[in-house]
Amino acid sequence: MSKIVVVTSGKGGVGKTTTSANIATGIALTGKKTIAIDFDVGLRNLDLIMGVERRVIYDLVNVIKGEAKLQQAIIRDKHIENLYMLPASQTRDKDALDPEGIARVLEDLKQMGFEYIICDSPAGIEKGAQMAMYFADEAIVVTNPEVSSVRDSDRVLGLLAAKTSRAEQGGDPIKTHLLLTRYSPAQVARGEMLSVGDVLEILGIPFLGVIPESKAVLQASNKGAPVILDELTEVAQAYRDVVYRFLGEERPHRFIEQEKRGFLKRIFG
Amino acid sequence: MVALTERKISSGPAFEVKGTIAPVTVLCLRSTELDRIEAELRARVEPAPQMFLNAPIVIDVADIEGELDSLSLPGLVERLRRCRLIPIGVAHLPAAQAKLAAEMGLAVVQLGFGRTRGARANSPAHEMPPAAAAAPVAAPAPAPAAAPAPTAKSAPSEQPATLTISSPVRGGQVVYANRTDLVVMAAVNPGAQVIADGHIHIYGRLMGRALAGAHGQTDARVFCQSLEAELVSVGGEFLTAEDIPAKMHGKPAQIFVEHGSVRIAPL
Repeated sequence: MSKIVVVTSGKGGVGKTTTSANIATGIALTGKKTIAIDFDVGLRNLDLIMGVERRVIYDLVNVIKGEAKLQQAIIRDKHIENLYMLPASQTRDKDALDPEGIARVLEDLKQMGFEYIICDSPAGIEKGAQMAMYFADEAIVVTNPEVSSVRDSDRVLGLLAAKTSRAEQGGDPIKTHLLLTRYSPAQVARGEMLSVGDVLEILGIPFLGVIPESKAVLQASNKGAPVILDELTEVAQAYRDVVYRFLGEERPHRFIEQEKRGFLKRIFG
Repeated sequence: MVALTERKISSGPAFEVKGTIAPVTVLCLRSTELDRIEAELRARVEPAPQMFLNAPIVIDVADIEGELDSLSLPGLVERLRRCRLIPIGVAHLPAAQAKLAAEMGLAVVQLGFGRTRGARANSPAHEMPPAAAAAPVAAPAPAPAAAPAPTAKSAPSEQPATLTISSPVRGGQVVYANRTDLVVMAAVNPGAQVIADGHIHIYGRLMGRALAGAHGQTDARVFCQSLEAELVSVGGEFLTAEDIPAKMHGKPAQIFVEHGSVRIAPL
């Protein structure tokens, strides 16, 4: 059984690509065959974050246009078993994506036995983002704790409920999950940042957790190794929790408040 | 997405058959005098042309069953069209006359049991309250009267009272309650727009825009549990976020028109 998961947000710079790389890596670490697909045609990034940029030969658009076989374009991670990625094209634009072609690629990936197909959406709500979400079974909506990001996520949730294959065919709606990234408990305490409760009140979807703001993310990106592998950091632990929650395990929420005592009660009580 | 739609059209079946429930205005006749009906209709229709222009009408003859012979159905249809209404069907018509109706292009319509004979016996010669006609529950008292109507066998849900939305209305979404009231059982988020020809009730935070009485009905109102709106409008008169007094912000409130201007009052 394969699951297609879109990582989306509307707003740019909130951490979609970082999240895609870390979630894909985290799921692969649990032993499930996983591939991350970069849908940001023209602004190829996911390969950099995952540290495979020097091995890119063909890309998603080549496969859709029939210029390369899917097997030729897929890059296998050298360090983590079960982890693969399919890069975006740097030279084309998003008009090169068409739904029939994407449907074919996703179907082939299912045939190849991928259990999780993580689609890294470009920012915005235009064609590229709509193509990334169109065939999704589940969506991880990445949001920063500030009003413009929350508003854009709200818009994207509306599109997920209306402009996707599941919505148009009248099937079960896409399962949506909220991930709050770049969260700073200290700033929330000072009233400079929206709290988890504030964001949940507006978006009203199941909550995967917070990823604390951290310098480790930037360092990991530059190094080309997803931060989830850097087990000593809070961010890695937060992403691991998120992966387990996404896979259906219960994990207590962490990193939400400076002072941990009683925080669950305040948020969920 | 355009490409997808085209593909569907070219390779799939030529059409899909779907059932739907749409609000319809019901004209409950209390008289068979065409001149009187037309005069009263004009008095009702002309002040609110956008409301009634080309509106689909079902003629309900339940209350004039005894005098049905004296009613000229073709004459009535012509008068309605003259008032720029579009008769689409007849309700409670004896089976013997169904063929005549069909020849005039009128369907025999079954109404939900809330709209039955005698429900408004004290009303004037005709009545067309757009919201109420679409609302079986709007005629509460005469429940026993439901039984005698021979054609009123269908479920009470046939004509929904109001449009009810139970999930949040998200930024970029527009919800329109055509000719009826709107109830939102969740928040109206920033950038969302809710519109109704009748009242709007929001059992949650109103953070987007709410426009009641969208066809100029100044007797409509907006009710919300927490007024944080970007814009509220009643019957075309509106207030923006800046016009809403700070002391009302985040409070339960109603918005209505009084002496031609929009007012906000706490609930």
